[in-house]
Amino acid sequence: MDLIADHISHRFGTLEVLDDVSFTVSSGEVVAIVGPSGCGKSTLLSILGGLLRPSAGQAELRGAAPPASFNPLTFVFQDFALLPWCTVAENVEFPLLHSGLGAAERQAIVGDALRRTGLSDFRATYPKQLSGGMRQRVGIARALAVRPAILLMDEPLSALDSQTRELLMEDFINLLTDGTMGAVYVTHNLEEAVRLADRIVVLSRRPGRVREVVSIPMTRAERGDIGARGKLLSLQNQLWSLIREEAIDAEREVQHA
Amino acid sequence: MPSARCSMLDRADQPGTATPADPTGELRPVAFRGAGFAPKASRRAGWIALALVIALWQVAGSAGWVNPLFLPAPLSIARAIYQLALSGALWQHLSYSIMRIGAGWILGTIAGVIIGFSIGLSSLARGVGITFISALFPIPKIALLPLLILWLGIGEEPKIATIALGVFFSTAISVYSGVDAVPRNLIRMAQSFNVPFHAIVRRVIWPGALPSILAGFRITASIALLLVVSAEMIGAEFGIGAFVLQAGNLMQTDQLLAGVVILSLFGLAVGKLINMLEVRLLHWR
Amino acid sequence: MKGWARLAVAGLLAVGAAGIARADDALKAKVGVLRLSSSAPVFIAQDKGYFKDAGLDVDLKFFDAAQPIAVATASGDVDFGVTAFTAGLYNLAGKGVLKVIGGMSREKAGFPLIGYFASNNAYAAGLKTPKDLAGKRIAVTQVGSSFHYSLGLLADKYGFKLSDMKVLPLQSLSNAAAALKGETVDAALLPVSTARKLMDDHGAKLLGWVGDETPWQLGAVFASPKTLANKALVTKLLGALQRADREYHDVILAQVKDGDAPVNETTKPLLEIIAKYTNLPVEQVVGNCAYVDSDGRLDVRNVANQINWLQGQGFVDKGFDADAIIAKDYVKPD
Repeated sequence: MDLIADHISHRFGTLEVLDDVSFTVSSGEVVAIVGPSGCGKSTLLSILGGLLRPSAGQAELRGAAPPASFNPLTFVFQDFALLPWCTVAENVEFPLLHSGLGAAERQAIVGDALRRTGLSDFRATYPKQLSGGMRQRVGIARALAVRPAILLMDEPLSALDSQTRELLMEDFINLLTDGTMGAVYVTHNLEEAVRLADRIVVLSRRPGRVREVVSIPMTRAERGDIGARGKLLSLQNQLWSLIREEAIDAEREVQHA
Repeated sequence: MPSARCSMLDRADQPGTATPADPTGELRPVAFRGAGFAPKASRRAGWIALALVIALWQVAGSAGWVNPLFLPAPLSIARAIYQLALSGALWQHLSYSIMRIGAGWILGTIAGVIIGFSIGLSSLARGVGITFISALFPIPKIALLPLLILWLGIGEEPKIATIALGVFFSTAISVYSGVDAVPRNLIRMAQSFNVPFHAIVRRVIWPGALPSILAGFRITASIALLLVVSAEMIGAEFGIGAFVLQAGNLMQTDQLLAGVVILSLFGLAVGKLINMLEVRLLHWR
Repeated sequence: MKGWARLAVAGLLAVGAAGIARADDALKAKVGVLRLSSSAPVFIAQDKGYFKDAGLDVDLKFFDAAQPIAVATASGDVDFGVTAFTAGLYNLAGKGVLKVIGGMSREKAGFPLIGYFASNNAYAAGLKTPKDLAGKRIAVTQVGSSFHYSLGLLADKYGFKLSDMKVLPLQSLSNAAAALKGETVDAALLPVSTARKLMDDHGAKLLGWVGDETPWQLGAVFASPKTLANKALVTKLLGALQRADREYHDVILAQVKDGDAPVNETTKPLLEIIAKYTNLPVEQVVGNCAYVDSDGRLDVRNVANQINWLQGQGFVDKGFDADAIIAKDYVKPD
């Protein structure tokens, strides 16, 4: 199943946020969206996931969703969006409650998702008792439970400290490594983009336009080698040089809101 | 300090700001200046203060510093309560008042929760409801008593209606502010998983609004207690409110304060009950 | 030391000067009243300068219920109170903080003040006279009020028990009127001023007047023991009030016929004074003239009866009688 951004433009009132953005996420592909702050990355993701109606253009799907999927386009949120009154297991079960599955089937799926994210010992824990990294793991377990075709990840690591970020990044690489799941990964962190993405869509500053699409000709497994480090670093620098000027402009911009 | 205006990046260039310390100099501790501004609620202090005030009050009464008519001493209030309990009238008054408070509070709360949720979830109900609530909430319920008597007579209905009305507005307001305060990202999350509307209301909005709804209960319970006196202005023979009113009419100030003490003890009990409810329902906080 | 002495001398001089100044001035007095025609002599004495003639500088303080006047007099916020007897007033007096010093309004035959009123339905069902009130649901303002006592007198007169009636305290006249109009009670006791509008709207039927059935001493002048110590003040105030009592009695009450005072050149000036203080049009004042004894006498026997009755009902603390609360030096008994 492919996800297509078809000439998407969006404005909030008079503020133009996105301008004619088009690209395709092919089945099993990981696409990172990077750009200076305020360029409309998260807005674009909301539009792609059907949570926001664009002012012009549309998000489209091509091809059938995998038959086992309960929710082909599944978000992983920056702030985790966990229900604070539910335990870890209940949070993971939440999207399945109205899927028509029986309790036993749901428990099996929840158990599997918790195992894959290393949360099996935390079933009965409440979110407030967990660290930020563990909370995001619950968010990922919840996403896995619905067997998505494409994960829509909205800065999933930016609320976490750098050590936790590193650990979760390794988890993401493992999750996406078999190619059964695609992802749109919104981030302002170029290192994350370079380590995770097959392609990187670089947006300009507001109103966001596609400035460049950079392909990374390495498998995610290859990028783990010591030898690949230098190449990734130069790629990261190349992206930074694309964004730097605009990031400076964006930072100096007076906020309207 | 001229360097205060400069940004921190410039600071290193300022000459002479860092004087090297004399290694042979005397050691002195850094003065602590972080004290205060962190009041702690001490249960015992509250009770001791209350006991002291009551003791002082009793002494003032016994010593004849204040006229017992204007401020009856605690002992005479206790005696009045004791006699009331002994004669059995206390239970009669209490059971009538509890029935009225309970029925009025439950009716007002049910209506308030329904209207509050409608306002929180529907644009139409919001436009209409908020206008009506803003217009009707500030009306003192006592001013409506003659109308309530005309409409509902002088049986239990107008008494319960008086309490229910007072409870309703406050509940509706706390419920819709509670619904408004449910984090939008949780609702978006539920929507992103295709969770149906009714399930979002039941599993996301209801529990999310519950803290504010329970806080509202705390207020409406007090409102119900306040209004029981107004409600029992309507031809009530029994009830704590009727008892207080009669004591006031007859200038029996010790009885009057006895009734007030019973009302406030009742209020304390209800407050405790809501505390327990909060601990049970909001353990996740 | 020198400084202190000088200060003390200055203080003494000041006190002395104030004393002299006060002797020259009129005696000041605050009088608590209701804006009701039952206080008519007070308004006349004030408006026609009888207080001033007696060497008093009277400041009228208006209240909206009888009870607060009794409380304000007991607490010293006013020096004198003029209002109706209530259980609350007796409870204050029984504790020694109030004394009755003179009579004021009375329920008396021919002078409508408080009436028995039936709801339309109850009237249609046969409630036609005050005697029929036995067994009915009757609204009053408060427990132990004038209305409640009037019902007690009625029960005594016709030989039934107070407990035969269901007396419902509704706390205010407007609540009682609403209950009557809404047919939720069979009858109510209301003052003529409240009932007039109800009768004009055909919301209730008049059964009779309390004054015609059971005359009694409704109102009085009273003062705190502290005020009583100032004999000159009390004597002057009562003297001025009696002058107004007599004028009110001889000019207006003597001409009242069928419950209404005529408006003519003799009554008009006084009626206008009453209208001014009660905020009512003269047309309404004429049908609302409370009887007041021409000498300001007090029906002491009836006061004793009131206290007995209220004590018997448990509304007034036992352990005192009429003698204990009446200032014999001032009261002229009937």
